[in-house]
Amino acid sequence: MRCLIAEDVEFAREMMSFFLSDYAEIDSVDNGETAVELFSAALAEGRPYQFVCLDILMPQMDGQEALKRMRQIEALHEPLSRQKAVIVMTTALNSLEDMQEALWRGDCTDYLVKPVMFADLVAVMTKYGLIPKQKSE
Amino acid sequence: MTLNDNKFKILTDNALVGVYVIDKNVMIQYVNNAAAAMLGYRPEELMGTTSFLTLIHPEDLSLLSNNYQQRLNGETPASHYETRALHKSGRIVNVEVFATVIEDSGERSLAGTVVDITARTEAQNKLTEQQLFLETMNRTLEQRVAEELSIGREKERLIMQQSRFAALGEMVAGIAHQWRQPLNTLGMSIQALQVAHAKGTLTTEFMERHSRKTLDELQYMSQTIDNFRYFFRTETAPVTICLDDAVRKIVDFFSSSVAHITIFVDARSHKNISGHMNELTQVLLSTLNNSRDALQQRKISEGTIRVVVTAEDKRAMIRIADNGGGISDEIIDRIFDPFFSTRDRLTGSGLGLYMTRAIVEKNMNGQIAVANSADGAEFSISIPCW
Repeated sequence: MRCLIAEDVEFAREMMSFFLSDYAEIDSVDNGETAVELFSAALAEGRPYQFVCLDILMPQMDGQEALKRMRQIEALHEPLSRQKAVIVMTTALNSLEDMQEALWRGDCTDYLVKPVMFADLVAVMTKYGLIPKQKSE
Repeated sequence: MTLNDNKFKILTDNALVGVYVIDKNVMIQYVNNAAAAMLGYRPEELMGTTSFLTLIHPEDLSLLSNNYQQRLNGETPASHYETRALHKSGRIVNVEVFATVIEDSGERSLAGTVVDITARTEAQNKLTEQQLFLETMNRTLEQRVAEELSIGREKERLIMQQSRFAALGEMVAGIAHQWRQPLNTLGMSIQALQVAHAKGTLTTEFMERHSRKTLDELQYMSQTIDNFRYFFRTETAPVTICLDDAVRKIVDFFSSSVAHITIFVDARSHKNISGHMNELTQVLLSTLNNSRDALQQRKISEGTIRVVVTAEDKRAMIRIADNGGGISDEIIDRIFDPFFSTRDRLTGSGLGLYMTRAIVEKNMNGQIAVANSADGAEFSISIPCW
């Protein structure tokens, strides 16, 4: 499994990579724009990311915008039968508006409020079939 | 000259004022045209047949008959009074009378002149009524002004109370905002230890690094509270504040809570002000928050806030400008109004800029204004300095 982490705080990025390193091949970036570039390139190469963790507040391009672009790129590249990437938004702001925008407009798969719990990340991966159930237990 | 003198009769018959003579039996001996017409009669209808008392308003009768007797007895030779007479149609005619005693062949009679003053009396009554109405209105007005003032004071008190809650809310929100990231770091660090331990990769170096990181974050969180206490502490007496240093400190403090916005400070006024640090903090933070919100709401990719402090003579000027696109013409005049907010109800109390203006004007003896620049809004705060 390929995983892309977009998070502007270096320590948080490092820890997310550390948590997920046993489950996926990880790429991590510190802004939305680079995340979209990597996401697009991966699709073009035929090695798409199955799991994306997007922080909402990021420089250059925020997570909401990156999410929209990723879904657009996905729609251009893939036939309908192909499974869409599991994109999880992470934010320090537990805001109803952010959640609504991410879920209804941006079409994210799920939503995690910081502090991100390792167990929650594993639960999300299990829920969307990225890892088998027994591994998380 | 006698009553029968023709010249005298022509003169009195046609006088513009009423003329009358009443004999000792209160019978009307003579009335001229004006006097008779005043009450709707012809003179011949009254003369020799009518008691003058029948022409007087019943309520004025006793007073008038007394006066009449006194004059006949020579006690009051002449008198000038107002009374109410009755018109043939029954309506009241207000009259002014000048009466005197005359003697003809040893017999006393009363003679006088009379003027219809109904119009004047009505006008006077109307005037009195209007004066009364005005007095009542004045009293009501005073009462209403007092009531409105009282309502105004109550409103002001409620707004102050709400603003205190709002300031408290902002402070809590500020701390919460600054604690989110370190809390995330702490949470991850502790979990990393657990995960590393479970994997069997927990080395001394890994342990030390995470312990250090954890302690650094805790110290940062503690510092955040100290900062808030410093900037929001209540001082009773005004103190001398070095404006440039204070503005730099407040902006530094603000900068730590905003990510992805570039903040420039140019504070070279070399001036002092007299005031309270918490008030200056509240004023600047509210204004900076407004700029931050504009930049975040409009998703400005290279958001910038410039804070410039200058001074001219005894006036310092703090300018806070952003590139957030400015404030629309429809709302620019209302942004200092209480409860006006473009933010949603959960985050914006609508009191921030209202309180800012109140503090600047009332407590700092200054002025605050806002105007649009080429790419954003600029707040200007002018305060006395030395």
